[in-house]
Amino acid sequence: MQIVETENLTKIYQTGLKKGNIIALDSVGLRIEQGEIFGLLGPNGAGKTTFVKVLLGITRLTSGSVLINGLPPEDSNSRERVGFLPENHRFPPHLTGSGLLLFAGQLHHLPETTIKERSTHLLRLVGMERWGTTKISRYSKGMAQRIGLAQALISDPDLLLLDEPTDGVDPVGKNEIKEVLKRVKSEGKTVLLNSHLLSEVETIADRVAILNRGKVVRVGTVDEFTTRGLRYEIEADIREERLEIPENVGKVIRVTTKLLVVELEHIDGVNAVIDQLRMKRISIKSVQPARISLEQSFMETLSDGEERI
Amino acid sequence: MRGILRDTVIELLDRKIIWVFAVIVVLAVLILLVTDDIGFRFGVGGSGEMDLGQLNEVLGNPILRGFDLFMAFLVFLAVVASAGIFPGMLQRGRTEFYMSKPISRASLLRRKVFAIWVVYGGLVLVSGFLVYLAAGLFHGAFDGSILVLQLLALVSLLIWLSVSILFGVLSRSTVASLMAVLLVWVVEWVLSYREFFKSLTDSSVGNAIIDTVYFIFPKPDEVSDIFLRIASDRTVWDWQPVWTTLAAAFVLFYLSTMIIKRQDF
Repeated sequence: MQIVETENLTKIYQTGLKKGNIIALDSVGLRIEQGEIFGLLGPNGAGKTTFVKVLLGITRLTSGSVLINGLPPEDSNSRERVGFLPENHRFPPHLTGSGLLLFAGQLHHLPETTIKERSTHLLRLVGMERWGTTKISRYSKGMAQRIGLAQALISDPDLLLLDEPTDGVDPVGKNEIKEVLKRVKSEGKTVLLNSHLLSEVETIADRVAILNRGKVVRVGTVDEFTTRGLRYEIEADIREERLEIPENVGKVIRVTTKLLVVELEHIDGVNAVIDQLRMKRISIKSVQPARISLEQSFMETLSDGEERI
Repeated sequence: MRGILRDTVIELLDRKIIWVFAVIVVLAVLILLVTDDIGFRFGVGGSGEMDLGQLNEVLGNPILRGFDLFMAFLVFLAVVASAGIFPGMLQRGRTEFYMSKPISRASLLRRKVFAIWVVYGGLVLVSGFLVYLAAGLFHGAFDGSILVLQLLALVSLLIWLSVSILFGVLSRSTVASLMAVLLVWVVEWVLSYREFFKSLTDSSVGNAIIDTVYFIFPKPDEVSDIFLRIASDRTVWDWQPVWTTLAAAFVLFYLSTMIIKRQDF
């Protein structure tokens, strides 16, 4: 079931007459399934934050359609079970951490007893139980991020939208936030994660979309992004052996004394390569698909896009 | 509603505005305390004196007028103190917090305006009441008609809020919001000389424009005068300034709603 569905979503910011219009989102079509962690990646100004704001009705779309839980963003009920942690947030500084959770819960029309129960649990979850009575204006960036995550979770949301959630958080905090997200996912909830930190997205996201200049340039699972087609790495005791693979099987990309990288024409080619190695009495230690990092894949996708432009 | 009301109260306390009001009340009470007797001495044409009864016919009850001025000052303070609330709410990073919640923009604006009116209006009323109580205790100047001036303070606050909130929403700037309040006050003052301006021109179109602008423009000072007349048991000849000003205030609130509904954040 799709929890977020956009079709031909376009957002044009109208600026002064001389400057012209800015196309922030250009015919974006994305579907986010219930229960997945979806990473939205892109360079600065790609339109990631605008996309999230359009989903929440904070920014009006110019054309196309958006549905959240089957409702358009203009309908405030579409946000009933949605939690949001904005980027560069400035929560009311006169409130304490607990006060913010109470206020957020009241804006979600929750009964006070439910808010209190959830607040205690959430403050513990984000490691802020000692700071609940401290004013937000006294929080460090990392503490504000944690309380921001807690307020996003107060409505027990089906959909959690996080814009740079680990911004300013120390490594321990980042790890804790990652654990919270995994826990949220295990409860069947959906997370849309906007982040520059691709290594984080790689470890927790199920699917990823890359947005560049307002357009979706690639969507896929993390595996699809990080594996390179039929390229395999074979760890073996090759030494000085000369290796040749028939053209209909594939080609050798790189060979060292301990590693062979091949690009195959077909998945069955793996067996043919292994057979050849065994015939030469080469001891094989491991065979695995060649992987690149999400960051590398991201950079390649962007540079491919630039070349096409 | 409860959440927004509570947030407005906490913000009021956090910004220490309550202390400004407290200091003003204490000063007013001290002035009343050190004054032996509230006496008024007015010279007419440089000689002669009027008793309060005669003066009431001309100016209205001086005690009421003094209290009216004091309440107007408190309303002015409340408007200045609350002018930054909407620009603060709509600043980047804060507005996302409010607007990501399941509450429509129009409803958010309505609730916040009501909360500001109740909280800051309450502060004005309590401050005014304390000074009135002190005047009564020290000088026996209890007068039920002061309640009319308390009501005026609430109406007046609502009128000025309609201006400051419209420009706060439109510009998202506290300074612009306060400048707009000042501008409305100046224009109202200029329009009070409309008959003089009309006498400068023979054009019927010009006169009609001046009359129309006067008619649709908020006239809080004239509303204040009318309430003062009511409080001092004098006849009100023309209610037009009251209803045109209230209508203008509601139009301004409506415009604020339209603007907040259409804006991108």
